Amino acid sequence: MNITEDKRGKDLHLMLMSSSPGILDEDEVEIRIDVGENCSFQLHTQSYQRLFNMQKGATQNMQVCLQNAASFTYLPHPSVPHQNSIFITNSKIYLDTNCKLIWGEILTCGRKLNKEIFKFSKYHSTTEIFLRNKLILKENLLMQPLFINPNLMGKMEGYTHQASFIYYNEIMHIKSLSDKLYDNLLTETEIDFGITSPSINLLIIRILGLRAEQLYNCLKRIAGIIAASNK
Amino acid sequence: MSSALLNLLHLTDPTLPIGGFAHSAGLETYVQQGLVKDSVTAKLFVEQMLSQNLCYTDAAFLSLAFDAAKKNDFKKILLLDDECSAVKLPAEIRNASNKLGMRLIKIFMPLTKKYFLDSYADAIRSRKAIGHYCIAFALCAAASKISKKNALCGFYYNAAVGYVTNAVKLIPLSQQNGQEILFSLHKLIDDLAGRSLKPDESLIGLCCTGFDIKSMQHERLYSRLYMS
Repeated sequence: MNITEDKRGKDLHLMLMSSSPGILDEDEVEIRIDVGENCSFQLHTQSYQRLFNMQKGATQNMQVCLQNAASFTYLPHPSVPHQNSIFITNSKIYLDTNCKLIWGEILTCGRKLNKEIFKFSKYHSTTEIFLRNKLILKENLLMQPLFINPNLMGKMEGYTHQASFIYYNEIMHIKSLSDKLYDNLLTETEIDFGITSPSINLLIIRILGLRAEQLYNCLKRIAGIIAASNK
Repeated sequence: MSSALLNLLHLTDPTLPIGGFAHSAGLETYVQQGLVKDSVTAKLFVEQMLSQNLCYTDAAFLSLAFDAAKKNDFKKILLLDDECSAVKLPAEIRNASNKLGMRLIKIFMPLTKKYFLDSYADAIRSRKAIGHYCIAFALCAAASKISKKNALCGFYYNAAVGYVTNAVKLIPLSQQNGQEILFSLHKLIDDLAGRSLKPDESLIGLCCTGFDIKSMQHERLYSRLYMS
């Protein structure tokens, strides 16, 4: 559904509509997005992605292809894996020349207020970004709380929610942005975060926290600061 | 003469002048934040680094690069170099892997004229590869008659010694405490070397969010003794 408010704006905003309450057992979701040359597209989600109680598990495959000078932003609502849910999701993003990409992912521990904290069976998410068919970034997030204690050092460090944010911009050196984003995130409480720039065109942020809404707002705000810096 | 054993000892010598002593892999952040503060927490750090991080990253790449070298598959080595860069997202961790790898290649290239170490160096020079320590280590080991299991065992041991030495200096711990941690890791190291013989490729690069964040925070620590 087209939810673009500013009809003269440069970005097309579409919302992914779904009549399903979330991801159900044995669901197989296939998403393919092509962003044409010089096009700018923001894809929105309707609500939190609930992953329901499962026996066999569900999968999602997403492929995004950006042609020359295309821009794509995708900051979905947090995923909430219910007890015994099994979800495997693979995202592959192919970038051509001079593209911009903003990509986020937030995983919660489950329905915390229902005391479903890390009761899901498996959440495995891989994100790969290819620049002119060369792999430049791979995130591989696997959580199986029954086998690997998520609270230990190096993993969740006692937090329950995690967010990952990727910003790639081939036409700008974005390293200088990291100080601005760092100072902005410092104003938040009850989170732990890091910002890094492994190459001049790539910026990565990871956040650990306790509340989904807070992390979602952080990623939206960061995207807003980046959008303002591009003007 | 046990040339394979001597080669392994040389390759995994913690005093090899490649600059390993300058990298803490985020430990310095943990110590400054008071999260690693005694031998119990230091041991936990090392165990988690070996079993949750290296097992799915560097050791897995070592294992796959070793196989590729034995099969004369240089194309695969270049793909592994790409993938290794792609999963190492904290800038200091990526840079550390690159710096240590370059130094290792420089030291061992004159000694190993096969198994692509020179081709790997050429690819790095011509920017077809970034160059990583774990892949260079695999190529050196494959060229030096070292068995894969021993190469992996030596790799994990070398990493463990590095973490323990840094913990002893940073916390600080007594030398005896440090050695006790190392002794206690022998079984884990042996188990992990066995597990890494055939890495599950779907698990390569598994994310350790906490370790990543501490490595990213290291870039902004007020005072630092280490480069990572």
